[in-house]
Amino acid sequence: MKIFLSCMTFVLLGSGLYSQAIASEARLPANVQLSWNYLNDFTGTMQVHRLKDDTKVSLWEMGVRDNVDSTPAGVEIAEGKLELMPGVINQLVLVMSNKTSETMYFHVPLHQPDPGVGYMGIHFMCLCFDGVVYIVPSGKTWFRVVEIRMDEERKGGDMTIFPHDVIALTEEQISKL
Amino acid sequence: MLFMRAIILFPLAGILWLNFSPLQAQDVALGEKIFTEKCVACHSIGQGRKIGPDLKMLSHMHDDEWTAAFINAPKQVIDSGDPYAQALFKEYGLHMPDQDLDDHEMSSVLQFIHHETKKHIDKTLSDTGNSTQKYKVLLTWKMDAFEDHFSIYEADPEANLNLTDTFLTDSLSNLPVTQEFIDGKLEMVPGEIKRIVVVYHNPSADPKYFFVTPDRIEPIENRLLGFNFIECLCGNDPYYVPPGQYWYRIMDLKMTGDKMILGDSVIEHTVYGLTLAQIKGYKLNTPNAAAN
Repeated sequence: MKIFLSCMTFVLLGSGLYSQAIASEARLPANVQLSWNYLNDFTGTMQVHRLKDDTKVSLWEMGVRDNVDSTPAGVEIAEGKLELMPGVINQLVLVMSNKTSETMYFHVPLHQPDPGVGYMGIHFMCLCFDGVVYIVPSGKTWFRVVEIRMDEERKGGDMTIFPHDVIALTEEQISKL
Repeated sequence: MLFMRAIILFPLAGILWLNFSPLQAQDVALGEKIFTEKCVACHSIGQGRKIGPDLKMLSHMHDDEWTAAFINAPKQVIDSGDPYAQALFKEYGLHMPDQDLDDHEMSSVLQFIHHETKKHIDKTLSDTGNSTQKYKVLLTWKMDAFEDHFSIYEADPEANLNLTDTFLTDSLSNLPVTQEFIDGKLEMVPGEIKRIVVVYHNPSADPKYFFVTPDRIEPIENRLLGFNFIECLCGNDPYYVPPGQYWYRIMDLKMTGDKMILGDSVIEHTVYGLTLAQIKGYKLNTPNAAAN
């Protein structure tokens, strides 16, 4: 009998009916913070911005401009903290200015959400991909459009931090790629 | 125009293959002739920088429109404020003369550059694939409110398995595996893709729910051009395993190359045990079907 009940629970869970049944309980925003750890003497700082008003961009649009004003970046989000409303797609612009006299190369491994369970129901299409190196020429500003959203049914509330490691690469390392 | 500022490594090889066909052989020959006459004194494609930059990444970084504009009127592109052109000018301290190529000549040169870039990538992949040095990988699991453990097996090559297939079965003998990688230890060579099966047995009389966050590789540098999962089990949704059942999932672990590997690699997933109350409202990763 117990196995039968478990199987029935499984069928309910799998069909999505269970999710729908309790969806009305959770409509609070989720709090998230996008943070950055700079490794190997990386000299830049990643900024998180809202999208500039009335600007249309595509997910993962990317480029290099003379300054921040020339990118799609609008207001900077202080400390990378923002609220996610259920089901709402948040388009953000990551910005990195190279104030050095050298070209900057960096790689970003997968984010490590903290606490881990806070990652459930949150989708962050960002910049961490295996085998990708980002380049910022000297004196220029790099940007990338990213998106973060939470599922309609996800519970909001507690803060989840999304740390990314930003790893500096040398020109010598780049030459091996 | 969007100026891409990412070097996207080996996956681009496939794109380049798609873009090149034998019908363009004549263009490539003409492109080579022009490149030899006008470009080779200052540029290589994959042999390092000369007076000007190595063009091996050109096809990845710019579309043909940008490249054509720069070849025929580099100073004009620099003066337009284009950041990449300005960065090149700053780095090399000079710009090349206008080349004045007509449309057919330009198209031929671009075809030749794409062709040589593909050859460079082929060679890099071939060099990587020929390495026979074995590298150790340890797949570990950090448990949070979860008392059971996961096992790793080599997938049976004869079994009809698809990446990310996820199944439930009531017997260990039903698993489509050959050998177990004891304690998660395995060895791989550059270029290898190993199809593995991660297995969890719920020994209790109660259902189990768990969730897995993105994996972490140590040393962290080994991720860039070393190991990575093409697909694994970390994602945004929790898993569910009925009492007494074996849950298993098909994953591919890839070792791209070893040019930047810093020693043996540890790949850690964190598994969070969840209660029924905690999963309320979340979609569940459900198995494809029962295997038996």
